[in-house]
Amino acid sequence: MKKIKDKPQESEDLLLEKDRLWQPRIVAFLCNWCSYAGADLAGTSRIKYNPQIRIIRVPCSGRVNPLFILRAFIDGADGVLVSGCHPGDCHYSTGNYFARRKFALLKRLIEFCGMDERRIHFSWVSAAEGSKWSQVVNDVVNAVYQAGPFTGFDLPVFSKETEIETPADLCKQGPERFAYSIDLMSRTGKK
Amino acid sequence: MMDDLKTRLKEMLTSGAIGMVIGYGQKEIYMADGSREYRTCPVFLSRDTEIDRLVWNRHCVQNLVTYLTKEEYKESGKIALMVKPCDLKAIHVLEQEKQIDRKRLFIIGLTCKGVMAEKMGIDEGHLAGKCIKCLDSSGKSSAVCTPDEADIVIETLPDGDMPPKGKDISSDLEGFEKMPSEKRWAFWQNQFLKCLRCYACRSACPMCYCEQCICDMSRPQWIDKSPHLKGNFLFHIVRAFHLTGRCVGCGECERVCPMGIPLMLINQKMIDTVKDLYGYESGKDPEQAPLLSQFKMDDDQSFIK
Repeated sequence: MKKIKDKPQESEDLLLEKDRLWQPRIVAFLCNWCSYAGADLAGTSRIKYNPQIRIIRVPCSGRVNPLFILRAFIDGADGVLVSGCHPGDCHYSTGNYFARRKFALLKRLIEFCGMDERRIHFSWVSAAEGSKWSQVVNDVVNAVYQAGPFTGFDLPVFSKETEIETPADLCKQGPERFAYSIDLMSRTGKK
Repeated sequence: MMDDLKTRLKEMLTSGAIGMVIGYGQKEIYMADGSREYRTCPVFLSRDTEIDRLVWNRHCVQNLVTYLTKEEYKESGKIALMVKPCDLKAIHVLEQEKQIDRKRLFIIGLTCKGVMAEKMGIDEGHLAGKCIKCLDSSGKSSAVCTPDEADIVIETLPDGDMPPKGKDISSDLEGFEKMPSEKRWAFWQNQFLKCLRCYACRSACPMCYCEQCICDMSRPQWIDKSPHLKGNFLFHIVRAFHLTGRCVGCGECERVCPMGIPLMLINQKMIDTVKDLYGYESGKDPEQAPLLSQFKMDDDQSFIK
């Protein structure tokens, strides 16, 4: 079976350098009526908060398809924040109640798959909560910063001893082994 | 009992009361060494002379409800369908989602005592994973499931002794959840890397009936179509999420997977989560509202800041 080797050790200097340069990329989906206005208020009130967040405005937190969140990770986000109106305050009456169920399930699902829980955040921020917004962003940025760059979709590093010589050997070893070899040849650029 | 059923089905087919019977039948298979074996497979019978092919044995593991939503059978008149008690749950979900008309369906309810696990046509020699749960819930391992609300019930039980139980998925799940998150991610990375994107899991699933699947869309292309890690990961998470609150745990996706990806692990997790968070069981009642199109004021929001 496939084995994953630990990532190669990098020298401490290099790590420090990387640490200094790396800034988390966080995608935030904000509902138009509350959280976006809250972020706007934070801006007009000149509240300072961490700038590593990219805001995408959506009509309602109920508009946030779980696919958006997953796609953000695929496209290189290190963290995702979804923010909407407090329960009861939704511009469309009930959009955030439906969203709440979806988010609860999505969070459980991707955490079950092994996603770091520090990368995915949900919050309720109203249009009057400029200071709460800045607090939420700072918390999220800190959490993602601690979790580090998201490398979950990089190919796992296979160890030497599991490498296989010829395609003929592979076929003998059953379909599972064969799939692994295809991975090796096509994806890790095997010599 | 089977003979009564066959006579009745023949009558119904000749009179035109039903247009087709979808059931379990036997197929002869020639093995590499020249020997012959019998395998149980789904059969689609529309002539009364073919009805004798129907069987009911321990190898009737397939969930035939899948075929009800396929384009080919939507126009074939009333369908008589052989249904195990667990498959009835899938019918409930389809009814709940207004995908099938119960009036167009003649349900042949099978009294079941567990079916054998099968992987890519090979008998694994123990009970299927779904049966363990089903039989345990009624307290004793020799329990018999009886279908309610069937139009006709077959009381004959499959012959032979009770096969040994296989491994229980909930113990797997428990062990898996104890693993640290990096290990879990690595596990799924390895599993999903194997995926060929043959979509057998999608074809076999009774709940995957969308005319255009999001995985087939190219404008916009949400899910990459080529079988690499990113696309596969997204495909499998989306598949699991689309089945959340709908999956009835029939295990067909895992059974048909040519690469042996343990899809039921992820499905079972979502079945448990849904029950845990919202006390919702899919397929329990055709009248209940779908999980994600309803809400309660006091739903859990402890994870929201």
